[in-house]
This record gives sequence, C-alpha cells and structure tokens, in this order.
Amino acid sequence: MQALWIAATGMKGQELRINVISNNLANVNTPGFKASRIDFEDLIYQTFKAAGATSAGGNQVPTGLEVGLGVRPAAVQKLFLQGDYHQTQNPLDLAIEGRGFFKVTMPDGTVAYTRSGAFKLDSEGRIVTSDGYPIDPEIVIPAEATSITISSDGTVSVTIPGQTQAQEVGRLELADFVNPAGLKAIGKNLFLPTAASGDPTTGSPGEDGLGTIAQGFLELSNVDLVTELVEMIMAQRAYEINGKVIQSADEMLQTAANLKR
Amino acid sequence: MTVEFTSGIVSGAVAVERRMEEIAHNLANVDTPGFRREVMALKVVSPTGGMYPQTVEIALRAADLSPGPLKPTGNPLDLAIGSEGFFAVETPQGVRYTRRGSFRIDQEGYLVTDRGYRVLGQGGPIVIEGGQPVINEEGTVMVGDEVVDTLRVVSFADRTRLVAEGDGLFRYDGPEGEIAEVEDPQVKQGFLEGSNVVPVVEMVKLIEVTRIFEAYQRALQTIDDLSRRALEEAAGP
Repeated sequence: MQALWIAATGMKGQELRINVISNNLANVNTPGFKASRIDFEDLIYQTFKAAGATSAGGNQVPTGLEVGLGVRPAAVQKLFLQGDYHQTQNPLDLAIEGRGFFKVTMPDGTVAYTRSGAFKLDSEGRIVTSDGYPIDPEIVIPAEATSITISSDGTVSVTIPGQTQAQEVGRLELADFVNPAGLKAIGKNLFLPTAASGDPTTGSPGEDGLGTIAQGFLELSNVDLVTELVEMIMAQRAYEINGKVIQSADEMLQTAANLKR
Repeated sequence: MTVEFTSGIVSGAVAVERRMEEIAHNLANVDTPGFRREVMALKVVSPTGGMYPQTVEIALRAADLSPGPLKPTGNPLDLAIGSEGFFAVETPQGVRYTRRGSFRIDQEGYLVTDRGYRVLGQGGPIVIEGGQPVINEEGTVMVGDEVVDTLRVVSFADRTRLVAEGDGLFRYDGPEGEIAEVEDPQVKQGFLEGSNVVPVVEMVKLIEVTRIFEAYQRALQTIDDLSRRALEEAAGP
C-alpha cells in the first residue's frame, strides 16, 4: 500500500517545518535575526499508464494515469525582510535602514556578514560584535574619546577633550548580495557568502542602493509571532491529518488480511 | 459465475487502493504552495459488452485547477496569480508551467524558482539588478523607474492535457498553438497561493474509501461462503 509511504512524506515534512518554526520562535528577540521559511513541493509522479498509449480496446488513452508520491521540502529560505527598529540610545547600537550587511572579521580571518548591529568596544578600542569579532575595515576609538557619533553615511567621529572639532576615525562599509536568501547562516547572527548568494559588493552606506546607518537603534528580529503561531497550528494539523491517512491505510491492509479466514 | 464476480470485485479493490494513494498525496501536500489537488474518475468496463464480467478502471486522473487561497507573506519575491493561468519557467526539459510563485534571485541576478529554473518574461529569462523589484498586477517587473520585462502568464485550451511532473511543475501535452497569454493575470506581489486541497473533502473520501474496501471484503467472503455451500451440497450428505 503506497499510501502509507506517501503519508509518511507528509509527516516528515511537517516535522521539519516545526523545527524551522521553533528556531524562528526561539530567536524572536535576537537583534538582526532573519526568519526562515520552509517551502514544500510535490514529489515526482509515478506513471501507471502513459498518455497516448493504446488501451485494451484499441483506443488511445487521452490522459495518462499518474499518481503523485507525496511531498518534500524544497527549500528552507531566509526571509530578508526588514525587522522593526528599537531605539536604545546606545551609541554603538547600529541599524541598517535598507539593504546591506555589516562586515566582520572572524578569528580565522574570513569575513562574515551580519545585520545585527549591537556593537561594543574591546580592550584595544576596536569596534567589535558581542562575540568580539572586529568590524571590517577595523575602526579604533581612542581611549580618551568622550562621545562617538556615527552619521547615516557611516562616518565614525569622536570628540576628544581639549579639541573643539570632532575627529573622524573611520568609515563603516556595507556589503550587499544579489541573492541574500542564498547566504549561509552560521549562527551568532553571521552569514557567509555561497555560490547561490553571489559575491559581495561593498560600498558606503546610502550609495548604490545600500541602506543608511541609524545610530542608537537596533534592528529587531523579523520573526512575526502571530505568523509563526498560525504556521505552528497548520503544521500540527497537517501532521495529524497525514497520521490519519496512515491509520486508514493500515485499516485497509487489515481488511485485506482478514479476507482469508 | 463466481470467477467473474471475483475479478470484478478485485479490480474494484485495486482501484480503491489507487484512490487511497491520491488522497494520501493530496493530504501530504495540504500546505504546498501552488499545489493542485489530484482527482480521479473511476468507470465500469465490460470487455464482452454484456452484463458480466465487469471490472472497475481508472478513467481519468487530472489536476483540479481551481484556485487555492492567497496567503500574504510580505516577501517581494513571492508572487501569486489572482486569475487563471500559469507562470512559464525554463527547465532543462523545456518550458514548464507552475502556479507556485515562491521565487528568488540567483547569483547571476535571474529570477528563478526554488529549484533554480529561470522564470520567463516576454523577452526570455528575467534579470533583476540594482534593487528590489516591484511587480504590478499586469505582471510588469520594475526596478526603480525602469521596466525590466513583463512576466509570461499563460493559459491552455485543453486543461486535461496538463500533466503534473512534481516540484510544482506542469507539462502541456497539447500543441503550442493552444497556449495563450492571459490578458489580465492579476499578479499579486508579496502573496503566495496555497494548496487547493480541502482537508475536509479528503477526510470524507478517506472514510469512504476504507468503507468501500470493507464492502469488497464482505462481498468476497460471501462469494466464498456460497461456493463452499455449493461444494458441500454437491458432495451430498
């Protein structure tokens, strides 16, 4: 009874969907987090009778007889939709308004990309992520600086006691991808480019379609609680329904087995 | 006589099993975007033209093309067709058709399906460069103020010739001339069309199928009883 296996693909798919939903819900308060979505597609069709074949009576079969074999997850896609902004007043909390990613250097030297702008200063005065990865290109804030100003075009300037003019210490760069959905999430809010995402293009904030920087703001997670809860209900019900198909197929097998008394 | 009845009943039971597979496939795809539910029609055939023997065959299997519900996703690369028609996509096997508009942009900037097949516009594959596309109801793709192309949305003269191939794709087995552009496709950006499977309908079919299967079993057992009794009576006391 093929129906058993078909229904099993349905149950497996919904299981994976629940995993994706739980990861989204767990990250509902993670700044810069991008929700994932699972897309299903129908599985190949088994041909019992090809269209155009000749039937027993010598007529041509107008339509083939094909039975689908269930469902499979086609893709788990990151949705790069804008998250809401949250004002924090913290001068090192940066949000990107529009497209683009911050670049950070990981300990092994590779550059990773992030939308999470909750930056800090390390002991050397460098601007780093919460995990201590410095921003690329590196920006060092002098120890004696009393305030940090980051303009919408990414210019970082500091006020130093005794000087009347603010001093520019660096410029933030943003990177963008043709297909951000193809980026690989590696945790810690970081993404790495893949063949699917294309190579990064870098530029200054506000130029070439890149977003601008908002200082004192954080981009919140773009997970929408209501959507996720609705998705969860749907997944649970779909799981249940596919379970019922397995039960019914089992009942039919039992009926068939009872033929012989 | 019993052989003729038996073969009829067995053919019925086999057909019911196929129907069970159809239900299982539909319910497995209860939330597959753009999925079109399978429908099967059974028919009674009599090879000799007389009353018996009669067997049950599957006469037709087709996709029910009635629209599914539109679900807002907010993702600018999710497209749904509000009217009839299908998006045309380029696959290695040739042009295929789909209602499933969960598109993305690949590394070369082409608008593609989940599987990476290029979505076709009036001028061939669509390339999106320099920002998020805006797509209006006519299917016109714009980036900024620039018109890139218009999506090809087509309909078919004979819908029974549409064959599901999996991955949400359909093949059209009729002549090219029967494929026509849809005048007003009502493309909705930021929406996905859901599956048109109605769980209640499938569940009712599920109950029906299990009961019919049971009825066949009873019938076979009755024939079995009758044959045994006939044998016993023929053998005499």
